[in-house]
Amino acid sequence: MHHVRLLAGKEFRHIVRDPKSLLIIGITPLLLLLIFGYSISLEVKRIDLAIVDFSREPLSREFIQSLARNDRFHLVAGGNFFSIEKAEEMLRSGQIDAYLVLPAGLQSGFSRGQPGAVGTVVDGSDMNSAFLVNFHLRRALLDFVNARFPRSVGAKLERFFHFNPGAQANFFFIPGLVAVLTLMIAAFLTSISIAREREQGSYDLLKVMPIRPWALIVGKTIPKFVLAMVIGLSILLFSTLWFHLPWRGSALALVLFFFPYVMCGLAIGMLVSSAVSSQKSALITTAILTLLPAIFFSGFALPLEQFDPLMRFFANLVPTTHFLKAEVGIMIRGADPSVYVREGIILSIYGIGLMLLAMIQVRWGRGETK
Amino acid sequence: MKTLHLVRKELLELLRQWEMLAVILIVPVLQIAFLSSVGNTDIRHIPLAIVDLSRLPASLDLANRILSSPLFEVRLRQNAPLDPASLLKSGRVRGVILLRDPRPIDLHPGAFPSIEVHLDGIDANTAAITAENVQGIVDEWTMGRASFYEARGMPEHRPMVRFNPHAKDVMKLGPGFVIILQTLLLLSITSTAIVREKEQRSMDNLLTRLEPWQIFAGKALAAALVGLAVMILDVATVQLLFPIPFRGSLLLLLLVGALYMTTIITFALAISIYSNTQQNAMLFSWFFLLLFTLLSGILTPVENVPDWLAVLTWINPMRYVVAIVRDLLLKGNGITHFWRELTILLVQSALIATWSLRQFKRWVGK
Repeated sequence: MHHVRLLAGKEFRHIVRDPKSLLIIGITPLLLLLIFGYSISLEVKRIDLAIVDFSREPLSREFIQSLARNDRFHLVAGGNFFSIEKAEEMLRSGQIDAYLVLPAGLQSGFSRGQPGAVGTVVDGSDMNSAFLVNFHLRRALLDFVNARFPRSVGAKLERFFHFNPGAQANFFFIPGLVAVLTLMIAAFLTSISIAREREQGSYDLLKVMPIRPWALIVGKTIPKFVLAMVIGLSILLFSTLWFHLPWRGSALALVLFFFPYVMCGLAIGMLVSSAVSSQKSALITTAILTLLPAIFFSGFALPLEQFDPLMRFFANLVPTTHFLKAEVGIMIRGADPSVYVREGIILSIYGIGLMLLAMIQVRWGRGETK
Repeated sequence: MKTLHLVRKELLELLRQWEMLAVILIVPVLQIAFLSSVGNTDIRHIPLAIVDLSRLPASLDLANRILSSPLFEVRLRQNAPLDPASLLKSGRVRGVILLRDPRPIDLHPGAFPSIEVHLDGIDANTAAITAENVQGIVDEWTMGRASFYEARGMPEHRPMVRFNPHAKDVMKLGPGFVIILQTLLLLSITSTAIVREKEQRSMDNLLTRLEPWQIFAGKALAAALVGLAVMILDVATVQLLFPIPFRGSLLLLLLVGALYMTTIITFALAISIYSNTQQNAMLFSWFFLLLFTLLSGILTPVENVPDWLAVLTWINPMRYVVAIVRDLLLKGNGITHFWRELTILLVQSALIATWSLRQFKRWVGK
């Protein structure tokens, strides 16, 4: 225990002695969260639209006028001489987001009770906006028809969006980015320190000291653990308050989830840095192993529902997947923490398991001569 | 010639770190392989609950219809009342479909139940897609049944999505991943290049033999070679595994890649000049990596960021690469369509390279 305390003290002094790095580690995540928080809006506010009107009847003109009155739509092209070919070219060059095709005989079809089909062609190069553009066009069409021809028969569908009635993208992306940054910072803290000691040769000194591997690991980790916890929790708190995110569940439970999660990050950083030979390779390897999976495989950038079983298996190997579920569930949904016992157990297994691996590696690494 | 010697030294130094090379070369290829298996944005198997409080025959029919759709996975189906909010809170389901009797007057055999869709709205996008999917099923079902009672319906809405027949969120999959990875690699490798010599006090040694611009070019070239090798490997992987064929010109892609690499490498060299330790250089480069990524349009659209932030997206080189690659890959467009983005990239790389070289010369001079 004595050794642990001494080593922890040394590590702690290392951190405090370098206030510049500390400042960067603390401030940059906040800055990123602020910028991202303001920049994310999945909403499509302005849709540039062209209309190919084969109908040329009062009804179609009325529909076009209703679109023109709508602030969301911006009619770029149309008129009698406008053709599908021109519309396609405009779509290809990005001048319009979508075009509408009103079929010939739309109005007469209506009065005969045989409504035709209104076609919308949407630029699909960004699927998120393609979906929203289609959604708004469909809405506009429905609203227009419902106003003109009240339907007597039909099922009425009412939508209720719980927990996030304003459909704010922040509610999901901010906790997600906090999870990504926390793992990254934790891994960064350990990987840089061991790699630097190796580069400067002081690691060999540590290795020949009469310290048990567990004491070495624990002593080196504790100060970084505290630091990573403080940073992770404070960026969460800051962004929650700044962007007025709800905090509906138990704060204590969330803090409990931070423990094993931060441990995972620290252990990954440690494993990586004791396997590679320079600071540079430690950091690149850490980034490839933590940052990219945390963004792409955790449900942050891509919904887990899109994954096939094999991919889901790999997603489950990423600590962020489990942490993000629990974080969003407890914080924003206000779920009872007992729902996430499974995630908690998995995270703890990962955290403790990776730490044990790091210890084994340190012991094993003692035999090597460099 | 002397520059080439430096390039060789830098490359040898990188090659000696075989563990890192293994990670750089193998892990991303695996990650791209997983990503390319991700399906389209049709989100399938969304866990749902159906609560049928209606006594109408139609409600049973509708519930069965939803049950048989591959879009949803019905985890719970019951006729007893239940509070949707508390079920959603538990996270067991993403949505609850509640079928109720309409107003008593309408209780004839052909009447429709009133339908409520309660969704977990935290992930606003997925919630909206789910709502649309339910709407789609209900509409289809209504049309099928309504035809018995009244022929006059709605004009059909026939949506078509151009350039992306698989409806994939392409930028978040293979191509976007490669762009982020490239930026990560180049920033990390280059941002430590000069500061390491500083830390190890070997810069003076280099300066006795080489001109400053030669050192600068050598460092940049070494990073570019590694970047190029990784880019070719990863682009080939994407080509091989990604179900969307590349429609544009590969030569143009290479040109865009080279321009982007110049910008990032020279920018990273500037970071390296300004940092005191490798650790700080790394921290800065990670900060810029994340900043570029978050404002690039890969994860979220950049078109509607507020004005004061738009400035940041305009100077973000990654944004232009994302736009060009999207254009090249999906639309197969030629240079006439994105000459604006290309010019900006060109000017940007020239400006940053000159500025960074000047900083280096000034730093060396003191």
